[in-house]
Amino acid sequence: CSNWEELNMDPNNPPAEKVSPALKVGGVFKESCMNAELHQRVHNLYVDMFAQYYLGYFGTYDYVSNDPWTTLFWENHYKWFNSLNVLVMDYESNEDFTNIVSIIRIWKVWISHRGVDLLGDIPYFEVADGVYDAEELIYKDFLKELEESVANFDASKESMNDPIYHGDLGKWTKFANSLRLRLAMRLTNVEPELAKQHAEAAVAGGVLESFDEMPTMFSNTTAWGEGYSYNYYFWWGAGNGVVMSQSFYDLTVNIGGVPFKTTDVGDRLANGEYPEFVDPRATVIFGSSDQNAENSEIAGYQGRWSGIAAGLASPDRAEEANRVQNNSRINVTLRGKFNGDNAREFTILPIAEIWFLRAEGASYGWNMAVPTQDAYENGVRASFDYWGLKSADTYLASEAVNNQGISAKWGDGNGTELEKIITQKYIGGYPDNGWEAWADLRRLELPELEFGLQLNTNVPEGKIIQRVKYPLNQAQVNGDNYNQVKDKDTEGHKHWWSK
Amino acid sequence: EVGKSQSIKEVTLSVTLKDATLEEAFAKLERKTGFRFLYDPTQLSGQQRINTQVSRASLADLLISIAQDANLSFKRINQTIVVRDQSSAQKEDLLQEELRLEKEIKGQVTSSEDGAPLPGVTIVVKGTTIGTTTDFDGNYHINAPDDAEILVFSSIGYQTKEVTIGNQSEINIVLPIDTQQLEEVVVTALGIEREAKTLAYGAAQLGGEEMAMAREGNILNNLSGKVAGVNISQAGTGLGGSTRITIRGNSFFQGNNQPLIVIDGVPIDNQGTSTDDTYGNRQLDYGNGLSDINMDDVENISVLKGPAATALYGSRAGNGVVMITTKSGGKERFGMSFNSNTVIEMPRDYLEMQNRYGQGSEGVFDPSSGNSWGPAMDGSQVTDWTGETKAYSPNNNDIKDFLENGVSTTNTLELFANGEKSSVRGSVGHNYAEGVFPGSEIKKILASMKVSTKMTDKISSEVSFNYANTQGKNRIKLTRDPDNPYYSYVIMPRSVSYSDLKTHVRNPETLEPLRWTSNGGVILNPYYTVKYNTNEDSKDRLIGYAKFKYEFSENAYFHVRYGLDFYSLRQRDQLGTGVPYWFSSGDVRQTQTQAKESNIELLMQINKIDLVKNALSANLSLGGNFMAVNNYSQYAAANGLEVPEFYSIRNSLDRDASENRYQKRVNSAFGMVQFSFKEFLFLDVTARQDWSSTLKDDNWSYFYPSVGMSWVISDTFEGMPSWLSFAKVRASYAEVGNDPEPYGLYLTNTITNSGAIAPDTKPNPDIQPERLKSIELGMDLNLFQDRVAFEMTYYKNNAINQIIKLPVNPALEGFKYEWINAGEIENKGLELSLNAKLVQTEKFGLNLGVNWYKNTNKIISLDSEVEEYLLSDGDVLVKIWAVEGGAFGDIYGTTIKTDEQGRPILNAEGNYQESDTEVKLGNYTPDWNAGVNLGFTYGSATTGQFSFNVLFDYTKGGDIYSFTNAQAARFGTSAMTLENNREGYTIEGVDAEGNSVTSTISAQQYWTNKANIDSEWIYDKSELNLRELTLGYRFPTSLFDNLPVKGASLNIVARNLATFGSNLNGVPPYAYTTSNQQGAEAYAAPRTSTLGFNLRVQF
Repeated sequence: CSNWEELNMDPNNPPAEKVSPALKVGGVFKESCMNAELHQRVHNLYVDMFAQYYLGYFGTYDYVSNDPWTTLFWENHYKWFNSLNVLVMDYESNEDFTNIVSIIRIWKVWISHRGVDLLGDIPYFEVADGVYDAEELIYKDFLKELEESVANFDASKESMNDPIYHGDLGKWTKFANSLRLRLAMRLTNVEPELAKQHAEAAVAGGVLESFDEMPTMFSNTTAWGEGYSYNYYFWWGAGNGVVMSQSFYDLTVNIGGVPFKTTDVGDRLANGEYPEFVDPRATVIFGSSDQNAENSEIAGYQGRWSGIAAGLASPDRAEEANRVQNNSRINVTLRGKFNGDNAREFTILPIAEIWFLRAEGASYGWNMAVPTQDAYENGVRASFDYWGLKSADTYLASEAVNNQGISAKWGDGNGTELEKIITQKYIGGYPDNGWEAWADLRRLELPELEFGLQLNTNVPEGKIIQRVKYPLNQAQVNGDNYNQVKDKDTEGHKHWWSK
Repeated sequence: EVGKSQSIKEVTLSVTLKDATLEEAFAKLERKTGFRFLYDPTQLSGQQRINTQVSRASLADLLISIAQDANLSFKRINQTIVVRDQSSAQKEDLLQEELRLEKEIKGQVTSSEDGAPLPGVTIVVKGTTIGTTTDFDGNYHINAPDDAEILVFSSIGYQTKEVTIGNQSEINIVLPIDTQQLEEVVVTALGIEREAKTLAYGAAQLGGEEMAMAREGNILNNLSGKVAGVNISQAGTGLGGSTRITIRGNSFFQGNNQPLIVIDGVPIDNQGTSTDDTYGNRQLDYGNGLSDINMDDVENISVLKGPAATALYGSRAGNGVVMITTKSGGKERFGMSFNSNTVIEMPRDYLEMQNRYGQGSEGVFDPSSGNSWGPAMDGSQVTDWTGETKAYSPNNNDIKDFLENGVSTTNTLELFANGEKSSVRGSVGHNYAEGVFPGSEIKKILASMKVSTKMTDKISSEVSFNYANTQGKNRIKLTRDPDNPYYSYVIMPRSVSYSDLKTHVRNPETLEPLRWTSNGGVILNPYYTVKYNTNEDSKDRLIGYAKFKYEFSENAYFHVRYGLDFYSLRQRDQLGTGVPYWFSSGDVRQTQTQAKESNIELLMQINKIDLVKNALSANLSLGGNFMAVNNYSQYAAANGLEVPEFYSIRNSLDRDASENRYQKRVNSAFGMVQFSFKEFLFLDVTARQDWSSTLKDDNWSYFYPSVGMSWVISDTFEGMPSWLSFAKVRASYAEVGNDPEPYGLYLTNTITNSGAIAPDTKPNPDIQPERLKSIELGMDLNLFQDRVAFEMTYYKNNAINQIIKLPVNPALEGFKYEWINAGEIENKGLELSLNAKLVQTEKFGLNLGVNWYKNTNKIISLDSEVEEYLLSDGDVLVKIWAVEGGAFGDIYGTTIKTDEQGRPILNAEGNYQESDTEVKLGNYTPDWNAGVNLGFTYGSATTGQFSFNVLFDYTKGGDIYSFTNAQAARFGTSAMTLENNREGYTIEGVDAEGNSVTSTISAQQYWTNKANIDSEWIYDKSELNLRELTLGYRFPTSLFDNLPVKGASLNIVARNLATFGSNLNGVPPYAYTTSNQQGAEAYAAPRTSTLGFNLRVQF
């Protein structure tokens, strides 16, 4: 029986102690960006729907939490979180690993800020006890973590081959500062001074500005669902699709004075009635109803370029004009990149967003090392570049207003500075940055979207859903701690930083 | 030849006996005189030697001298000389003589089972020791005293029959099979055959042949309603689907709670499909391992229910054992039989649907809607989803239009031969089955052979194998998989017809499947599924053993047996080019599995150890077992095809491969002693020690004992009332230990191409074996000459220190679960069975069998820190929570959200809302089960015999969540959506502030919303099933007098003919999986009935 110990060693998976830290953390990077199930359920069907980036008739359209999705997020979040924590503890005392530890700490902030933005108070400092920590304390720790991590980088020491920047400390510094800028900006309602202090320090330390620095995550095409195709499936394939929102239509129609490019939205233009002018990014993102997989749009709705409104009453959803197949889906020009190879990279943090963060800061009079208008226009240009569009100059010169009365031109009085900045930040976040759009809708209530009929009575009328409910099994597996936050556990409960 | 009336004093002979034993002496005298000496060889002293030489002496004188030398006495009765101890005779009476008038009777004994001649039947003149046995052809010849009145015919396995002689000189008789278990031997653990009366626990034995008559693809289904304590539940997956069997409830939180299956002493892998994923995700139900055995090869099935019965099979037998014994050579010199069974399978009982409203929403026609909430189908001309203009009217849109009748044919030829030294039986069978789902089929070739040889006086060997080759095609994908045809059927708008789907299968250019909508879930045209999204599997399986036995003496032997269960399985499935999900250019996936379990078993058996002469004896077994499991599987896939519609894994630039290895070993030592006191009091003690490779070396061995007692009251006292033929009470206590699955002790990482991933479950190096403790009390009563047999068993099983995957707060360490030892589940139950021969005459028989059982489950404790435990996760429809104080199988889900006063809180639209919390909605285990069997025979083997048998089983209670019903309501296809003529509903409740509100909503709003609320779709599973019906005729043996045929019978067989009292609106209450997640049904295949015939001819 002496070899029995060996017999019970898993022949399929190596012992954890033989796996290098870089390999361990690699899985966390990848999963926290692109885990197929989470990406579809939490990123797309929770966050993007709440932000009205895309709409479709799922339960989350009615602001209803979906417990299996939240549970899945919770389980994965803490798997990543603990795995990063363990690595930090194992290596932080060793100065040779200072860069690796710093990168891991930055990424820990990245995954945690999503957890807090989705749920509010969560276990963070003493996870081993399961105690829920206040958002305020967690946010302040984020800022401290980012600051310290950057300070601890030491170019003379070893780095790690991470899947985002392959250990490039310069890029990691800019990424950490950009994230710090984002998180600082969250605090404008509650701690404006602290926000200013961190935002200025972040910009002074250097933030991301060019595309070759933009963080992205590769798609995993060898396993089904792990590639970008999972989103592609529900955007375009059969089944419950999601389509353009009426809000997006209202924000992009006429603004910028660029003529509507019918060739963008598909060749089979039957009854399409299109706006004369539209934000040129809008037709690249959304095609016409013709581009549905089934060509199943009904007579009178072929070639339609339109969106569905949030909060439609159930009978209205059955109206022909409101049916998913009669509205605009993700454009083939865009989805063509995913079709077949599924290999489109996921944008972790768009360059445009950082310019708009600086524009917002500058508009408050903070030192963002760039005038407000320049930051704003750089943001718009960065977004146009992202889509390969050349018409940014025309666009930025136009005083034409969208359905909210906001124009693209800086300082023309059509919309306040903040309205212009956040409108552009909203449009410039497509297709992957719905998390920030939802955050702005809670922090600034901008852009001013229509919410329609809100079926969930837990969310006050006319307000956006603030958060989703904790996993139901917290009451079972973490009952004592859960009871401390039980009263906060509704979809309408505001974040600490929320307006 | 000595004259009948001649006195032995007058018989003279010459004989020389030199140093002869008594046996040799008697043998010689028999040859010389024609008398027969009747004696018990054990009574004769082996040392006694006879030396005598006589010439023309009287036999009487010779016998007297032998009697004096050997302390014997003789009594001559006609042609027989009975040898007895001298003590039983007066000294002067060493030789008695009694001449009786005799009559000669002859005849043949045949079996009621098949009309075949029965060799070895004992025939005794009642009240005497005069007797004989039948020869190989069932013939006998007896000289009975003139005043003999009754002949008693008896043979093991048959009822004893008494026949009045009267004036007859030829008595042909048919011996009925003994259906009573009590006098029969029962095959128990390790294949040890024991007299039923000595057993201290409940065991049931069923004959293979009667089950083969009305057979099912899965033998387990045939147990339904027949054995108290056994619960059979079929998965809703159609042809070749699995069946879940539990005995005496569910005891373990982890694991499948199903019994160990043993074929001829060889444990086999009976794993069925048990995914908890309701999305299907290309999961197929490949059925249980047990479907690899030919029903025609089954001699009998023993169900060993409690751990006392199973302790000797070790860990895996804690949930009971189903033991299958295959047929062996039998008694005849040579024989052959042919069995042909053909049944038609017909779907029946469909979801109750409306047929008034067609495709659309809110009363408006929409040719691309997924719903049936359109306007009334009034026959007006519309352009439908096909683009054609036609009448909008009720259509040929029933699943009946899509399904076909299935057929299953099994032909088996068996041959057997029996010699002095060896016996052999072989069979070859072929089974072809087509399911009701078009294109689904299973082909099987089954072969078996068993050879036993007596190599020397002491050494014998036995070799047996069962081989099965199974080829499956187009098994149905499960639950919400787009390819499940019952999924699309349930939600398909009522104006859509199967005839249109059949002619509009796919777009010839894009190759995309065509169907009525791309909305409302990922559903597919079932004709597309059948043609393009196909699957196939093939399996070769060998189950067998080789055994050598050394007999030290008549009562002591040693054997060594190597048992093997090996299979190689290839599973392949593909999605067609153009399919709108997974890889839209099509894909191919294949898994190749090799699984092997071997057991080397050593057993020393010593029987009839006399401890106190004629009072206390013992049987002793000592043994060891070495079990090894080695499984290997390999997976390869083409993630997207390069050349369209060319289905090869090589036809892809994106190929995927993986493998999985699994190893486990358990070594065991065990022993058993059975004490027998005066053949009425029996005590069994067993002990087993296991060493398992899946535990850490400092605690990898564990011990478990059992003790049982059986007291046959009716054999204890004289003067029992005559109506009480047999009475026994029994009691036992047993424990079984159980080890964990491999690889749970150490932390590993899974390597993916994005990095290393930690597992979901925290390993635990200190995990201990779990343990089941069981108490069983029982009573067996036979009344009125065994005409009525009654059996009652009470049991209490406590499973403690369970190995459970406890859900923990992932926030703590990042694990979702951890392995711990905790918890206790108690199962208590009562089993009753009654068998009565209501009428029993020469020609006519009427038998009634009733069984009933009830199991009560209670979760006594969980972990000290956790009071609730989720029994299943994955994408489930409702949750099965184990809660302290609750029961295994409690179903939890949402209900209508109400305020503190119980008033529904309506949403902004004025509709009900789902509650924020989950509440207990029911429990999936039945309250009790019962089976009733009525059998009737008329006629005899010689004149032909009719038989009729009917079996009902009843399930009382148990709940199930019906996703099918919820979805049919959501999509507007369910008949219940006609309730209000679709005119809308007025709902009363309160708003978020607690103000009373009344709202009016449309029928579509009402039902769509209601479909989300779990509590509205819980149904009581109670139902009565007409399970089995056979009508048979055995052709009279006289018919075959001049033919090489010995017998033939033809039966009309039917199974699952009707269901009464079901509450699910036509949907069968079959869970979508065979895992512990038995609380939900989702798109189950319709029930089917089978009807056909079984022809059996013996040569």
